[in-house]
Amino acid sequence: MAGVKISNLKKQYIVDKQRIHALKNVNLTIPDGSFTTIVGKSGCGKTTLLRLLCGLEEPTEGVIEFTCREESCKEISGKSVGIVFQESRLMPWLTVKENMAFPLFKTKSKKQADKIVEEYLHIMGLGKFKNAYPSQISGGMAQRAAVGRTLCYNPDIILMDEPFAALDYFTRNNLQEEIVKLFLSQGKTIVFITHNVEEAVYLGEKIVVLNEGQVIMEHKVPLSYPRQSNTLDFINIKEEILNTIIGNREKLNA
Amino acid sequence: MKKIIGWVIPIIIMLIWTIGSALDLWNAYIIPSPIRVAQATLRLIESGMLFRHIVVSLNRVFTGFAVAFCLAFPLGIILGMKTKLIQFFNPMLEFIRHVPPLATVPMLILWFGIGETPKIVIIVLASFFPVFLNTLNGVLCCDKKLLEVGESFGFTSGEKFYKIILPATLPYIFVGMRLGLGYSWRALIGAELVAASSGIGYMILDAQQLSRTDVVIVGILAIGILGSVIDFLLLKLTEHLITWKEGDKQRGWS
Ligand SMILES: Nc1ncnc2c1ncn2[C@@H]1O[C@H](COP(=O)(O)OP(=O)(O)OP(=O)(O)O)[C@@H](O)[C@H]1O
Ligand SMILES: [Mg+2]
Repeated sequence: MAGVKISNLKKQYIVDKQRIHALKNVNLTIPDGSFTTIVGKSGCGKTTLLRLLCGLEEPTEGVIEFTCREESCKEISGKSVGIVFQESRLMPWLTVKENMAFPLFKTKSKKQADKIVEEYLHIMGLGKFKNAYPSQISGGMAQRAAVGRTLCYNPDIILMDEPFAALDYFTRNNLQEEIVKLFLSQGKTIVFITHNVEEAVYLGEKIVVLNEGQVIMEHKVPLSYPRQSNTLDFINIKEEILNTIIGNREKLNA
Repeated sequence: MKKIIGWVIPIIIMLIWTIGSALDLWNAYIIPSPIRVAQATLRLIESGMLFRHIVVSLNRVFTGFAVAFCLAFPLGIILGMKTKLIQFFNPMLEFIRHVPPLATVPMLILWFGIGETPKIVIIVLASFFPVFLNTLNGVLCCDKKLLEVGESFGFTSGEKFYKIILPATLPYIFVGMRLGLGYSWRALIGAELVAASSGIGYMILDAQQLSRTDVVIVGILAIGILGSVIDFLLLKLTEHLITWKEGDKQRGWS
């Protein structure tokens, strides 16, 4: 089990000789076993932040420290961080089931790996399509398979980059409930990116609002799971977050 | 239906050939009649000559192709993974690519004598590039996003190669093999020009010297049919091994 401490994190890209400040001085603590949602407009640096967290990108400046509950997890590095990308990124030559088993090929017991995969196939509602290839399933199913694949990997910290953005309302609701259940039962650290404020409030213990590469708000959600999106408290929090994002835009326009 | 359409033109040609020959519309030496060709074929089969020549030629094609593959495949993979090396090899490979293998025959005979070696070398030269270029292209086209998936699951370089790069490159490799084998057949006659005393190419040249145009046509037909059959078998093998489809990966370079 692990949490993350981000200090003075900066990330710049050079595009066409121009310096792009994707992240400007981000400070953020993600406690062990917490559920954090990150919202923000397109291009505000959400994906960049996740890529830095899972080591696919090196920070220009600043540090990312992994904090552990147990002493045993000194070698915390790649292994304990898993990511669900914005696109499904399934291997086109593997079936749905093989894709989900993809991170498990090193597992010694094939039987055990098979059991894990079957379980998540069921949770993701992909049982019927386990032998289909990615080109034969819908975009939503592919995304579900991608979520399932990362869950099979069973990392301590799960990073999710708008995994449900492409899904229909019903599937999304289902999966949101599943994620909450998973969070409550397994106590994993989850960082979930979305541009859907309602989803952010429904899922997160804490909501982080990112704008132009900066954290402009951290908001605790004092509601217990499972949440109802039609309660007054829920709507109030949603409004507040929305206002922060929109208000910021007005400030910029002024 | 599609299969039948493909036979229309050959059948028309056969008809014109048969009727024209029956009506003596052309010189029987320049275009021997189908019956004479059939008789020649029968005689060559009965005497075991045709079979013997085919075996010799097949042997050369497969040996040459196997050698070419053993050189081209690893080189394609290595250059694809270490793209900096491409600049190192590129000028030399580009030069060799533009030299027709037959142009090297005099030197090959000087260096290797008139045994099997120069013939094999010609076939190697002819079939190296399709395999090499397609393998290289396959590795270069391997989606970086899929490699990131492997990286996020903590794969080592070796695991990324076996689990991602190799399967992603497989369709390209097969295209390269099909093209390469096709080129081997084309180079065969050239190879058997080199003081050969056996093989389909030799049979054709020998028949030319004896003014046996019917035997020449038997040789041409044998090469065309064998080439098609081998290509068909390889295609079936490809379809058997690569059950997944993605875009138009089947296209290749030559
Ligand atoms: N590999 C890269 N090279 C250059 N610039 C990049 C790269 N990745 C991201 N950027 C830039 O960094 C900024 C933030 O991008 P990022 O992908 O993090 O946004 P995002 O918040 O995830 O947006 P979206 O909601 O649309 O996915 C953008 O201006 C983008 O152009
Ligand atoms: Mg993004």
